[in-house]
Parts: sequence; structure tokens; C-alpha cells
Amino acid sequence: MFSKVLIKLIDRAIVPAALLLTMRIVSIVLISRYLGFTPEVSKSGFVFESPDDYLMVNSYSTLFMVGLLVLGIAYIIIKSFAFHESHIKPALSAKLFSLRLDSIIQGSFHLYSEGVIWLSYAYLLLIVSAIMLLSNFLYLWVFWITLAATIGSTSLFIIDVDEEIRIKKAVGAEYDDDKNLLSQEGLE
Amino acid sequence: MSTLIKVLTNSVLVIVLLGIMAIPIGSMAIIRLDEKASVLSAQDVRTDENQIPDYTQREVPKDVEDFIIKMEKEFYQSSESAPAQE
Repeated sequence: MFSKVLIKLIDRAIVPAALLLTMRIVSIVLISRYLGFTPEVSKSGFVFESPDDYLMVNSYSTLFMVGLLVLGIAYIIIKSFAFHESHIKPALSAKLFSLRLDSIIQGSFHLYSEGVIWLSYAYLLLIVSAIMLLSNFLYLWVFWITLAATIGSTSLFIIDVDEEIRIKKAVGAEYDDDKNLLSQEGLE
Repeated sequence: MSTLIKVLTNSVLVIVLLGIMAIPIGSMAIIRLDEKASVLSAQDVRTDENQIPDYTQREVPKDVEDFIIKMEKEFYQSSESAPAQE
């Protein structure tokens, strides 16, 4: 009844959502304290009176969130390239089993569902960054970093998917579609 | 019927997924800018009191009305008694 893919995606979406939310709040508090700003804490959140303070704290906080996203996506990409079930090196696989770290070896469904979620967050953050930039609430260089991180991680992810498709094609049986031989007399 | 139930349950799952994904993006609005009104002098402050009142809807005070009627009477009396100029 329930889609296996959707349940997996929901399961994979909870941890990054919690991490990003925590990072946003913690980074605002830490950056404000470090820079000596005192935002007013109200029901609607952290309220800044100076546009410069707001711009600086918002930009650095967004940068921290992008940093967290880059770390998360890098972790998945490393797993996809080095510990992917379909193309892990036998020696590495044996070593992981001997160290009882075989849980690192993961299949395509697990890795790609995780990757899709983290990439979705990256794209959503990119869209929000663009809106904030247009409203002059974000430094331009923070937006460029967000864009570069999103494009870079997407490219690496696509390379791994491409490799996976190539492996699947190589492993699968190949059939000759040419039926000329079968149509010859005596063979039918 | 089973297909309909399947579609509905999966739609709920999609909504849950989108809701979870909206949480960190919604947290971007946790920081706000509230600029206090900056004025050059006390005369620049705009309040409800110094907005232009609608005089057409107000009643004219009795003493003012009497004064206007008196002025009108004097005007017409003086204009009627004055000789016509050619």
C-alpha cells in the first residue's frame, strides 16, 4: 500500500532536516555572540535592528548551512565512489569485513535515496539564497559558493550514477537482435 | 477502490516528505530585520492625529455656524444696498 521509495525518502529526510535546523539556530547565536551583536529574541525569532548586522549574520549563517550540506553530500559521494556495493574493490571489501565495518558498504537504493534528499536540500537552499540575494539580505559571494557547491555535488553524483548504469549494462546478458540466422532454411 | 486508497496514502506520504523538507528552509525566516523609524526631527513623525481630517463628515460647531450666517447676512445686505455701478 505504501510506496517503498517514499518511506525510504521520508526516513532519509529527517536527519538532514534536523541537522540543518540546528545548524541555522546555533550558527545565528554563535555568529551574533562572536561579532558582538545582540539580536532581540521574540516569538518570530531573532530580530535585528541594523541592516548591516542582519546581512552579516544571515550570510555567515547561510554559509554554515551550505558547509553542512557539502559535508553531508561529500559523505554520500565518498560512499558512492568507494563503498558502493556494485563496484567496491574486493580488497577493500575484505578489509571492511575483517574490521566489522561492512555496514559502510551500501546498495544503490540506499545511497541514491540519501543523495536525492541531500541534493534537494542543496537546490532548495540555492533558491532561497537567490531570493535573499535579490532582496539584499545576502552577500553575493555566499550565493556563488552555494551555486558552486550545488553544481559540483550534482556533477559528482551524476558521474556515479553514470558509472552505475555502465556496470549494470556490462553485467547484464546481451542478446543478438539479428534474426537473419534464424530465418535461414533448416534452422527454423 | 484499492488503487484509490493507494493513491491517497501515498499522497499523504508525499505531503509528509514535503513538510519535512520545508522545515530547514522555513528556518531561514527565523532571523528578521526590524528597522525602527528614524526621523530627522519631531515634526517628521507621522501619527494618526496629524493625518488630514475629513471635514465633509464633521459637524460644524454652533458658534462657527452662527458667525458664518451673520457674515453672509451682512454681505447680502451690503451688496443690496450698494448702488449699481455702470
